Amino acid sequence: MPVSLADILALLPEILLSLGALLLMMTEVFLAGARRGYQALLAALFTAAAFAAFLAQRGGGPRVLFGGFAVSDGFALFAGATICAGLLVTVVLGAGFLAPRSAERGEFYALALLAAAGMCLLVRAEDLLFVFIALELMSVPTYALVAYLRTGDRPSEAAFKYFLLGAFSSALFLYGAALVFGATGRTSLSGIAAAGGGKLLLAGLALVIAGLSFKIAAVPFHMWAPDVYEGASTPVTAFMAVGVKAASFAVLTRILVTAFGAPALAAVWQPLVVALALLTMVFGNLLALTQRNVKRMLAYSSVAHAGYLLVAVAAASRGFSGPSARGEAVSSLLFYLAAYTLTTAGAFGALAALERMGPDPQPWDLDRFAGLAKRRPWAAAATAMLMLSLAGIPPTVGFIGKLLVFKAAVDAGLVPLAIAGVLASVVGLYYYLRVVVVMYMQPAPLGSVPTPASWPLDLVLVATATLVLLFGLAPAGLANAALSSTGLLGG
Amino acid sequence: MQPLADQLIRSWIHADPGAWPYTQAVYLLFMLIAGALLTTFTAVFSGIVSWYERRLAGRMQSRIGPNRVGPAGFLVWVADALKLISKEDTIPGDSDHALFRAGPYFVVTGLVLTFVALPFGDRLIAADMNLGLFYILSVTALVVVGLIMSAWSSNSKWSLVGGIRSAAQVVSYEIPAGLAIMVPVLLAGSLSTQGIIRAQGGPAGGSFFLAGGWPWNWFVFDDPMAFVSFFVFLTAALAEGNRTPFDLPEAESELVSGYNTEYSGMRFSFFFLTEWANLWVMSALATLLFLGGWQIPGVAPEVIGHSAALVFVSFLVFVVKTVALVNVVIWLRWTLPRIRVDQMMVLCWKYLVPIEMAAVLLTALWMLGFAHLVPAAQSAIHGVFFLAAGAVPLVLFLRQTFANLRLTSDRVDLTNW
Amino acid sequence: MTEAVLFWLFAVVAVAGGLGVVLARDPLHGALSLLAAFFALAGLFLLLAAQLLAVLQVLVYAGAILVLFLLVILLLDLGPARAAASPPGVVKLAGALGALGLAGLLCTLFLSASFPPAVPPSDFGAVAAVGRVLFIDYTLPFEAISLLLLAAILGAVVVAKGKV
Repeated sequence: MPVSLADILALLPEILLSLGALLLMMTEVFLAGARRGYQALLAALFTAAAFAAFLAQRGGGPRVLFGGFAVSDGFALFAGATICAGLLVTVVLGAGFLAPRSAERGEFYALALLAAAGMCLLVRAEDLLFVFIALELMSVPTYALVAYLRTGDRPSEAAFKYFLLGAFSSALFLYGAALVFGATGRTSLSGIAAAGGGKLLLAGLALVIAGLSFKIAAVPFHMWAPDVYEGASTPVTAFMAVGVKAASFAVLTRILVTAFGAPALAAVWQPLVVALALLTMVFGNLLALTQRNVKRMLAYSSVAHAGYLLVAVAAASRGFSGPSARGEAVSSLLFYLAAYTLTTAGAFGALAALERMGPDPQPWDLDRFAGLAKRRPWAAAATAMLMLSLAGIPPTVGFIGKLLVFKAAVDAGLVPLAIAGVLASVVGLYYYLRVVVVMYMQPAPLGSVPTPASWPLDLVLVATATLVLLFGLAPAGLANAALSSTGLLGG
Repeated sequence: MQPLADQLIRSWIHADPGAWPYTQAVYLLFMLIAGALLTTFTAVFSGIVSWYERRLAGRMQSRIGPNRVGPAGFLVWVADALKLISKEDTIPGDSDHALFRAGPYFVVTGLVLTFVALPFGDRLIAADMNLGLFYILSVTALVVVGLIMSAWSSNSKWSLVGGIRSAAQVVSYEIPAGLAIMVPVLLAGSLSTQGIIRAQGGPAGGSFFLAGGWPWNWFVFDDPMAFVSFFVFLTAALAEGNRTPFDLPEAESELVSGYNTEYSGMRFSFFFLTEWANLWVMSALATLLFLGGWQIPGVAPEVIGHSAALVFVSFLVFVVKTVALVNVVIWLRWTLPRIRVDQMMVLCWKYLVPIEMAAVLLTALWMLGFAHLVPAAQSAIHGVFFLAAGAVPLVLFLRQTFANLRLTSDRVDLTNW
Repeated sequence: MTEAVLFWLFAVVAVAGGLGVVLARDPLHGALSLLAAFFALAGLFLLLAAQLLAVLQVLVYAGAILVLFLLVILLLDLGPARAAASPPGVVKLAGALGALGLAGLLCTLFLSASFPPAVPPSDFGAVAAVGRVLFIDYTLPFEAISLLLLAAILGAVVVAKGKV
């Protein structure tokens, strides 16, 4: 089929991101002076343009692009906009974090933009073959980003671990996709749904779920997450925690609902996803409890959040609920993804703002937060707001997200799972609130050198905290946007 | 192979091979004969070139060269071969014996396999595959794998360094060579070796000066990109064949003899057989890609197949062009010094690869734009134009050279010996 | 008949080559086993009438990628793998059992599955047909892969350039 201009225009966000990456690479060749502040600005501009392009495309009906490899539907647009928001926060974080360490390079932003282009393609992929390519386009730059800022052994170890396990999970996914193709003779998601198949299809489905579970760090595929999140430089960790997770969840949902949405198949994968969700919520929260290292704690917290998101995925199975319930589940997933992206990116921003320069054996210990309320009251207030949102306490967006997800689970008949989720959140309260307590109740340890303030990091903190509060108080706009974005093609 | 076999059987014994019960066996016999012929050709050609190169080197260095065995020392290659065959085949004690023995066979096999798709004239080809060029490029992979096997298994640092250099060189220069090949492939719209030569035969039904292998029909003069690609291809082919100025893998002054240091006897001779036979392969490739192959000037390509005499002429045309290129390559070896490793890499990655990338893209644009504007019958016009553009500097260069020679009143001797 | 003989020949060589890669102690032997597997795979492609794929398999994998592997092996002067690195017996046993179980599971799955027959078009595997599919039908994946390769090169440069 000939390529039409409309198809190319539909991919405008991805094209903008790739163009930005190319431009940033060129600046590194031709404009690499001592001052590189403009690079972050350039990256932010292209990201904002991609975000705007996603928003501008809303409203049109679902459309198949390039002969069925990608689609343009509300789900993809919402998820893509979320990813771009996460990238925007990452870029600003990068500017604030890297510049004082004189580590600002065009390559950093170029890699981030390329990875984001991969994520945006991933959320609109409608063909297992293309899902794999987009998955790699998302992963390969991320591997390099983890190894970007290397001080000490940790980042190298983290990058290597992430690369090996990432390659392994990609291979699992690819093998699953090959089995699905063997069973159905199709690679397009709607084609697989139409073809159906026997045991081979189920084996492929299991492998596809396992491969993507690595990417979203669901228990028991989460082992890499704490080490990698801790080893990577903080802006990169934020990017991985929000972007990679959001894109992987979006594609997991799309594959499960579109290709395996038939009641007979949904009956197979729903228990699997329920088990994964249960394990992930319980172990993510329990493991986070014991961490004094805040970065590791946030890593386990992101594992736990993957559990809540999996609850939404389980609720989206069609076999046990009507189409409206599925729409509710998908919209709760999207809302939660947006809320999670804002909150987690901001929380890592708080971490980046407190991180000392130079070698430090315990850079992310809980003590770093002690006395913050006295030193920098605004930063402390913002951090507290983000922690409350992570814990799911009103009036924050995190609370609304959890509410929507558990409501969707109850409506889908998954009452025990919802109860387990609420209990797990209660456990989570302890370690999130501990940070707040340390900030407000404990004096700064003697002889500690305060980290100089950096305005981009403060901007991130204040902006995300404000948005978290805003969407928490007036969630209707975001919730309605999510609700109107559940139109999955063929789902 | 099959059409040629059919034609030969029909014209010799006036029988239809398709009617025979064991046609496949007959074809197999033909394939065996062709294989034996090509392998023998490889060996004899590399032997003769070894003598020729040494005579030429002697000439260029004001000495005599081999002159003991046969007229002008011509039979020296037979004597060399006999000596190498009768020598002891030593295998170092600490080497990896199996790989050490197998390495030279990989090298020879990779080289001889390329002859399957190399044409010698109209219809004179073992197998006219539609992927001929890709086939040739891919089987040469065996050569470098064999070199690396030999280098590694020798358990000697000279060999190892030679092997490393060889691997780095081949991997790098494969890219400009492959891209340069793409230019004539684009122009011809075919990957078959014979197809590319046929595409250089001028417009169908053209008059005497438009038909056949006139220089203005050759791809090298088709457009500026092809002209550049010809030289890039020659350079890259030199590097891939480990020829001077790119003979770093066997740099005598640094590495004793590089990857073949530990070899002796027959296995040693395999490396040299390959090196000289490779001269034919690269020159034949350059001829068929850029210099019109076996096209006879003034004779339309469709006519040649009908007459055995014309087929023979086409064979002669191809051999003359190829041998002329072989001669140039040998001149280069005795003219240019060896370049350094870093210079070799810089030349490849910073110059040849970008140039060829641009050449391939521009060729595609050229075919979309310019070539469509000019009617087919006039395509020779730009051939003549670019031929002149190539010839004018050559004439100027020769005039200046002769003027310089007259000034120094040197005796000019244009014979090779 | 001929096809079946060739298929089994190539299949056995491919599997043996794959085993060689895993089991060889000397990395160079492993790389050469890989070469055998590549050539056998190219043969299998030829049997499936995918000539271009077969030639590209040899050209790209045996000609470029394997030579790159060999270059790295030679450059690092890698000797045979140390025996001390081998895991304890229990782990080995568990691994072997797991692999056997997986193989058994996959075998039963494959044997029980019915594969829809593929009907290749008449010009299947020819350069023009592959080019048409690649550049027209698969435009988007093709372009995405070019981005992926760019990202991989950029990533390799970032990682190799040393500490920032």
